[in-house]
Amino acid sequence: MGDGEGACNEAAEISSGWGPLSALPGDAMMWILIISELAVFGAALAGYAVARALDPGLFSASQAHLDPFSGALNTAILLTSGVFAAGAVRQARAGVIRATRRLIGIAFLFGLAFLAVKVGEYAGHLADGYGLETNTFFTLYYLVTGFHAAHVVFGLMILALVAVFASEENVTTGCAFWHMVDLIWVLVFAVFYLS
Amino acid sequence: MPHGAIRKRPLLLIWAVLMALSALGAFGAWLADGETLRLAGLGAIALVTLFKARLILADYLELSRAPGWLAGFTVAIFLLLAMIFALIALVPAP
Repeated sequence: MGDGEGACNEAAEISSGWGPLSALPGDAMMWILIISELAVFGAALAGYAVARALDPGLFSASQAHLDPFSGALNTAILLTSGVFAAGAVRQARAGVIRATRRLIGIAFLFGLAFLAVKVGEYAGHLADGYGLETNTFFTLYYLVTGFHAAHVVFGLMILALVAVFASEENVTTGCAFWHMVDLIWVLVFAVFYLS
Repeated sequence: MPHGAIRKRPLLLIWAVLMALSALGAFGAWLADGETLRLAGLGAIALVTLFKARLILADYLELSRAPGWLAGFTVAIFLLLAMIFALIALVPAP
């Protein structure tokens, strides 16, 4: 009986625990995704820094063609979107579904605004003749910011989904993805636009 | 998921601080554009970015509930930014 009970307890611990990940708020699988995405973007940004060190003149001249105002505007847009998403999580936790949905909706609209600014920026670069194959800087610029924009699109789909199925767990998990997109942009903006 | 101690700061305050840090980052970029204060400007951009990342992690992503993880993420981002900005500082454009 003692052995059987011990085995049962051990099995329960194994099936219910995420080890160190259990300390994280929300869904552990989302955190695995967040860590993976940060690693991927971190490697891309480190690669950018190495490529820049190999040809600083080209990178500096190319970087001068970026519009820091658009980048700063998009930073403000995503940070503002993030505060509404964080508010939605707090409302979901309080069980106020209508306010949760309204805040997710506002966060969603700011996400759309981010994409509109980004598309405008890309259109401007392309009109000026700076495309994916212009040089190494623009290749990395389009790849990293384009990959990030794809995450924004995916994040918007997740926000729409959790606005419909607005349980506390869903909203927390969906908004965590949105904050990851925000966090990655802060790093991308600093490296590509400010440095 | 078990939740640790909750430290809820007003979201509007967090947002205002993030916006102010963004303005400081733009000032750092302006400094980094010149010759004399280039290194100070780059340092300011890196530091401001680290603080912004930490605020997003602690308050938007609620990692203030898991201080060990918050410290781990902060150290990882610090190392990444240190590597990137050290390379940019060491190899200036001609």
